[in-house]
Amino acid sequence: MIEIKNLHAQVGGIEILKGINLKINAGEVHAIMGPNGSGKSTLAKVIAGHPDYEVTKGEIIYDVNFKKINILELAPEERAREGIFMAFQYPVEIPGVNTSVFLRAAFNEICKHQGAEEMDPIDFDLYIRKKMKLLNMDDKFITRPVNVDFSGGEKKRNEILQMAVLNPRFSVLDETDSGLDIDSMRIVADGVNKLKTKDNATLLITHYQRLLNYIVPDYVHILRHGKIIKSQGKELALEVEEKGYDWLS
Amino acid sequence: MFQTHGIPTVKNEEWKYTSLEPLEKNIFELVKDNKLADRSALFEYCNPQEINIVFVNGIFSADLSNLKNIPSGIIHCPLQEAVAKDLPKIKEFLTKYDPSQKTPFAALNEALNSDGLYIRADQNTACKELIHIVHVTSASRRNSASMPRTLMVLEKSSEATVLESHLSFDDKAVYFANALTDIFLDENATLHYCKSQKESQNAFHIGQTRVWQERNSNFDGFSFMAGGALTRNDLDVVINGEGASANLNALYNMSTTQHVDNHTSVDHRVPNGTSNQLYKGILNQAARGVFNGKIFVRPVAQKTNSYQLNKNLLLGKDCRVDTKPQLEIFADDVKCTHGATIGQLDEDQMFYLQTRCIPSKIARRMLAQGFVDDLFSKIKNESIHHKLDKLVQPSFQALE
Amino acid sequence: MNEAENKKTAKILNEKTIEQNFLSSRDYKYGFVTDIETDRIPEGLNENVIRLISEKKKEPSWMCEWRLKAYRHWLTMAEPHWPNFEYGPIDYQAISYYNAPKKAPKHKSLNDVDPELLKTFDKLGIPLTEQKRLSGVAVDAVFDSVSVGTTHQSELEKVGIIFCSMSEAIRSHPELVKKYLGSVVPYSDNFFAALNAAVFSDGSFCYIPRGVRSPLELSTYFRINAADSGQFERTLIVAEDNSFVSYLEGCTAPTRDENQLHAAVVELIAMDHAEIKYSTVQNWYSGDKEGKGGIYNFVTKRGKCAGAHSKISWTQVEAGAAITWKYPSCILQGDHSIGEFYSVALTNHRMQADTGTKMIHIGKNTRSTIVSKGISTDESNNNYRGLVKIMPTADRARNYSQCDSMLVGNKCRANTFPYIEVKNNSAVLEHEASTSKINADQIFYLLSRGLDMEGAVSLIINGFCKEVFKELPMEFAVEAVKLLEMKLEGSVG
Repeated sequence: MIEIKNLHAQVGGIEILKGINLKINAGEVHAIMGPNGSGKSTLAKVIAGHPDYEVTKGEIIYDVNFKKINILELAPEERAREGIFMAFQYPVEIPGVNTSVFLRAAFNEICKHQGAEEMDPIDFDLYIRKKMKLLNMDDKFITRPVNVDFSGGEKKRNEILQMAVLNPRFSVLDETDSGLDIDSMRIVADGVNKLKTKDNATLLITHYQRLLNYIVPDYVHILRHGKIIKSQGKELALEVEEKGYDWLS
Repeated sequence: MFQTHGIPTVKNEEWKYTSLEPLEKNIFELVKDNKLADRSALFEYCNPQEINIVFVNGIFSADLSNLKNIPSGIIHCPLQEAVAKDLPKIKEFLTKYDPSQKTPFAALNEALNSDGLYIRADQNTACKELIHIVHVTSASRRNSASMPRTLMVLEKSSEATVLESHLSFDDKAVYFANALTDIFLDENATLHYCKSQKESQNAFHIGQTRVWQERNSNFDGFSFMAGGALTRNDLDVVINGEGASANLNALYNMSTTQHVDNHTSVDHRVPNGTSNQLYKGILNQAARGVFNGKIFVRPVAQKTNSYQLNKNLLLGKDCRVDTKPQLEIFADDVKCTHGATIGQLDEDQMFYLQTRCIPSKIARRMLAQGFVDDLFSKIKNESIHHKLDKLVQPSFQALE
Repeated sequence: MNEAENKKTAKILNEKTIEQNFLSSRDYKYGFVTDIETDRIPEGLNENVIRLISEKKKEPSWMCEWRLKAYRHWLTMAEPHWPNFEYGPIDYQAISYYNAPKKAPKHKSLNDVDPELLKTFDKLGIPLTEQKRLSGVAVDAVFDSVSVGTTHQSELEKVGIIFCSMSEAIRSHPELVKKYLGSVVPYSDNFFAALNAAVFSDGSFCYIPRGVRSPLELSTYFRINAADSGQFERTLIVAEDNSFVSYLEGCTAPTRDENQLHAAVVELIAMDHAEIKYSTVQNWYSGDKEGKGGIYNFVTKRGKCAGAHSKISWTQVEAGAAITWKYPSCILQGDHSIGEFYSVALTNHRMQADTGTKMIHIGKNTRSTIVSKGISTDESNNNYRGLVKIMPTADRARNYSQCDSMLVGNKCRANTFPYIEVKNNSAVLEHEASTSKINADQIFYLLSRGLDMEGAVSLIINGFCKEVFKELPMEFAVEAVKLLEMKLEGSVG
């Protein structure tokens, strides 16, 4: 579904990613682990198209309607409309912008892109409530401005709600587990598991093995100094948990 | 007084960032004609079913007004009549201010105004209906001048909601509106007051609203400014009774080469007062915004809580902003904060919206609208909220 | 001795002098008068007096001409009264504009300086002689109208740094003085700057050549001694490309019932990638409880970031003077240049302070930071006044300002007058200000942990000013803290 080839990226003139290679197929869950500063979040931002990060080499090939395209050529909103979703490590607060208005605008952009009819506010309200029920979330998420006065856990759950509403094919979850207590983590993980199908794929970026007890990955990759230094099955996560990262280098 | 001092220049600290030269270049004339050609535009803006007190070119129009639903307990009459009859509170109120502090434009208004409005809410009256005072300038006369004048007295424990609108339906009309509004809030009185200004793009609007607050009274004020070639809007509040609180919120949304100058002053003269100010501005194209907020805390005004924030969004390529939030504190047991921010749309918010499929053009509109809605949510009256929203929408549609 | 050792020794020495000078006394420790014979021009000001000053200093004729031009311009100007304080009329004819210790012609060795003067500076905690001098700091000592000595000159010469009195610079480096004097603060700038340009008697000059990081802190110590005189010094610092200098300034004066005028001018120029750090601990005599006496401190300080990536940082602790009127400013002309202003202004008794800064953004990507902490006690009047101006050329300029005032006692005043003018739409500015009483909960908490009232207050004030103190060189920070503590004694109870 998506293939990252020899990806180099820098921010403010400093090279962070130094040749990433990664292939993810539909139906798979991959996890990327690594110590602080290894480039995990940079990878997520580059996939989503953050303007501060400059790709100096490599490409990200993504399947769209049986065609392969390099998404690095697309604007962030164009990538999103093709079904690429990033759950932010630090979801942004947007005062004054109502969550359901915002989500309907996002949803209708996808409809427009796919040539489908846009949804009116009443139908959308029903649709979003169905998704909220699926994720055990209450009304306050959609009646309030985006992420404003949300706790850390609520912000992360709001990201998963957006994922459920926009129904992406490829999701990157950037440290979605950080700052969550055990209950919130279970809710978030439940949500991700419920949304998993054979047609979509997920990339989990995490610092700790903890999340992987709840969302079981097919592959685990260790990122260090901007390169993937080891890839293996889910047992690798446990090994890292026990021994740290130093034995790998 | 206006004759002795004349039109202030930029050397005057109060007019540092606003030159009145364009105003001086014109000769304006008071008109006696209160006919309005385009009634439909007026009634599209103000709901004819609501209480409307309409003035055209500064002169009351019984024909356009709707006074049917004014509840008992609300007294209204021409100000000149109220003064002549020496109605209660009138004299008391009119002597409250130090004449030497009067601005030249307030003096001009008092000298030239011939058809003022007096509104009084009797003790314990709680008026739920919106009272809409509309000042509309007709385009039929060139270079007309009007002197809108309002005096509102809310007696003890009364409550009212007032919208004061200043409008024109012809953006080419050149005229000068010099408005003066006085508000007196007796003990426990609450006034929800909104001043909305959408004058012609070529008009000059100089306005001052003075508020006098007694014990435990509540002033819930909102100013909206979107019209005028040159707008000056002063809101001066005197907290003269313990436990009184004042909210001063405002939005100025300007484009082309419009110039808006907001002055606020909150004078805490007694202990235990509260004041909150949030002034937000959006400046498009080559518009220019000025904010000057003053908080005075007098020596006796201990336990004062005062907050002031001015936020400016610079969307235009050649827009300018000058802001001067100032504190003058003479008491020690106080908590006063002020702040100002100037910037563009937040890049992180833009990126977040883009990753959610929203193209940058729409994201910009959404964020600008959010900047406004955050403030509009403070307006409690639905009808006012709706009217302002309608006035502000075209500017979002124009955003690129 | 290496730099670290230098610093360490300086710190020890300073702590010792601090103990001697601050802890032993509850009053203004520096209020003594040195009895010394002086060469004095009688009170009064006219063109002849200016010629006489210039002559006494053996100045070239261009310098004298410049002074006269400034004087003539000054005559056309009016004394400013816009700051938020009151002061009685100043009789400019009642001031003596030149007062030099008689035995103070420039000596080859500092050991030859009049022992009376050396004793004075010893007493102030600034020993000058070879044996006793501070090792990490080069000091230019200015006594009334003249510099009496500069330490460490030879050490600095080795790396090419010129550090001397202004008089000496005019004689030995006329080309540099001519090029830069008045280039940042022209004599026409304001009333007191014009007066200074006409009558300035001395001051310090430093020139840091390209690529040199000054191995020592440079400093000037200003002492007013004579009665009925004023001090009008001028400081000029030029930092060439890729250079760095940290400069310190300290000031004291005797206790007198009359007000004395101090009208100084400081000009800083930083070229490409150069950095100047300028720190002041100002402790002029501030008058007594009733507001009698004290120095009028009317100072113009301005730095120009002329080069790209240059940086000028002002740090000031203003704790003395009857009236302080100063706005150390930065003109951010070079692209990517940085201006900083960190200030603590403490007023007690009936002191009046109107201080702040101006940040003028001209170059692209220029950044400025303002942190101002005002503390007012007793019946004093403390004002912050600042201007941040973003010119149309200054794309992507950034400013952050924070101005906090703390009130201790119910007869004091604190005012904040920030002016923000933005003429470029890519600017991002943030200004925050607060005024509040010293936090009673914090005091109670500290008292409940066994501290006494003064200890508690001093701890809280320290915390309040921390952001500024951390910008001061270590030895100055210690001094500043003690100074505030001493000033606050008796203000809280």
